Formats: sequence, C-alpha cells, structure tokens
Amino acid sequence: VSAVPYVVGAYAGVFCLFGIWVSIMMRHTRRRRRELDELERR
Amino acid sequence: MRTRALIAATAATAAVALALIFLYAPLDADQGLSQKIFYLHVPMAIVTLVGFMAAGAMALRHLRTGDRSWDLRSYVTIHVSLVFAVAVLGTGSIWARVSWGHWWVWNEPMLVSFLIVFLLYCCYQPLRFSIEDPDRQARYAAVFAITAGAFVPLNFLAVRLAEAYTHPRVLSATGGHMPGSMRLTFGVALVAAALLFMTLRRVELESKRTAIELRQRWRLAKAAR
Repeated sequence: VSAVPYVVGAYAGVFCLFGIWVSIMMRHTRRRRRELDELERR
Repeated sequence: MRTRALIAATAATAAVALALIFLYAPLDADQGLSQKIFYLHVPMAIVTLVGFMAAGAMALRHLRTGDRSWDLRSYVTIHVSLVFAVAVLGTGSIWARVSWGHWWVWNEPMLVSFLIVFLLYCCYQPLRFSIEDPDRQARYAAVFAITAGAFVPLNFLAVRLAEAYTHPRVLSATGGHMPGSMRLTFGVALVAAALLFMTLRRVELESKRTAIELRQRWRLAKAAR
C-alpha cells in the first residue's frame, strides 16, 4: 500500500479542519462586532 | 501577545515544522513515509491532553474566585481540545490503516483510552447547556471539568502501566529511540501544535467575549426603551 495518499490526506484533513474552524470563528466575531457597532450608532 | 502576532508566530512555526518534516527529518527505516503522520498526530495528542488538564485548573480557579471569566476560559479550552481530539483520532486512524492495515484496533489500550477521554469530554457541552441558570451552569461545568481533568493523567498512567500491543511509545526515557534530527523535528512540531492551540483558543475567546458584550448591550438597549 502506498503511504502517499494517507500522509497527504492526514495533513490536508487537519489543515482543512482547523482552517474551516478558524474561518467560522472569525466570521462570527466580525458579524458580532458589526452588530455592536450598529448598536452603538443607534 | 496580540492575536495577529500569535497568528504570525503560529504560521511561521508551522511552516518551519512542515519544512523539517518533509525536507530534513529522515525516512523511518521501518515505517517509511507513513511515519511522517507521527509529527502531526503525537504533538496534537499531547496538546489535547494538556489542554483538558489546563481547563480543569481554570475551572478550579473559577470555583475559588467566582470570576466568570475563568469559566469562559475553561469552556473555550475544552472546546478547542475537543477539536484537536477529533484531529488526533482522525490522523491516528489514518496512520493505523497504513501501518497495521486496520482503521481501528479495539484491544490497544492507547487508542481506546483516548477515545474514552474524548467521549467523556463530549458530555461536557450537553451537561453545560442543559442548565439554564448561568451561575449554576458555570459551577456544574467547573466541577465536571475538574473531575474529568483529574481523570486525564490517571488514564495516561494506567495506559503506561498496561501492556502495549502495537501502539509505539514516544514519551519514554529513550525518546522512542529517535535520532537527533527526528527529535528536533518533533520538538518544533510540538511547539507549532501548542501555538496553533493557543491561536484557536484566542480566536474563540474573542468571539465569545464579543457575543457576551453584544448580549449585554442588547439588554441595556431594551431596558432603555
């Protein structure tokens, strides 16, 4: 069995998992900050 | 350290770690290329378990001081550790498939004990969010985090005392019989995993703090009307 697809899969999978997770968190924070700013303006 | 500096430090260390893993560390004579997964899997496993124990210490601080910010820190640390645990189980399974020919081996204490710890912490969130009163929620969650945090080193010791069947041991007096170049690569990968953990924790903490502030402002705005 060639190990290449497994090694690539493991590294790519981990980077995708954390990448998606960070982008979701940052999007949430940005949205909440926007809402905070709107609330302040009102 | 500011968030951007932390993100930059994490990216730089991860880049160095990747370069060392694929360009510097020699191929393992026995396992070949599949051993490269070890530089990803083991540091993440160490950071996960340390994260669970640190969350217990933060929860203890919350119970002692009554400061809700420690409860938030404990909650976020457990959340990030759980995400890391998913990655540990995934990479471990991939490595097992290449090395042992099986995705999972039920009679291996290391694998099953990690799964037990993971499932134990999966109960944290349902327990936490099944309680409506915020003070009680924080208190009960803290008790869970302390108890489960104390279970982690006990579990690790129990596995050490058990007879290993197939899973290799890295944290030993001989360092898993690694040559210097592999040890250096492993050390850098461990620092990268720790920095990644801190970054994810910081990003989530900021998100949660903004959400709390937003809720408070909404309440104030409603009261003003």
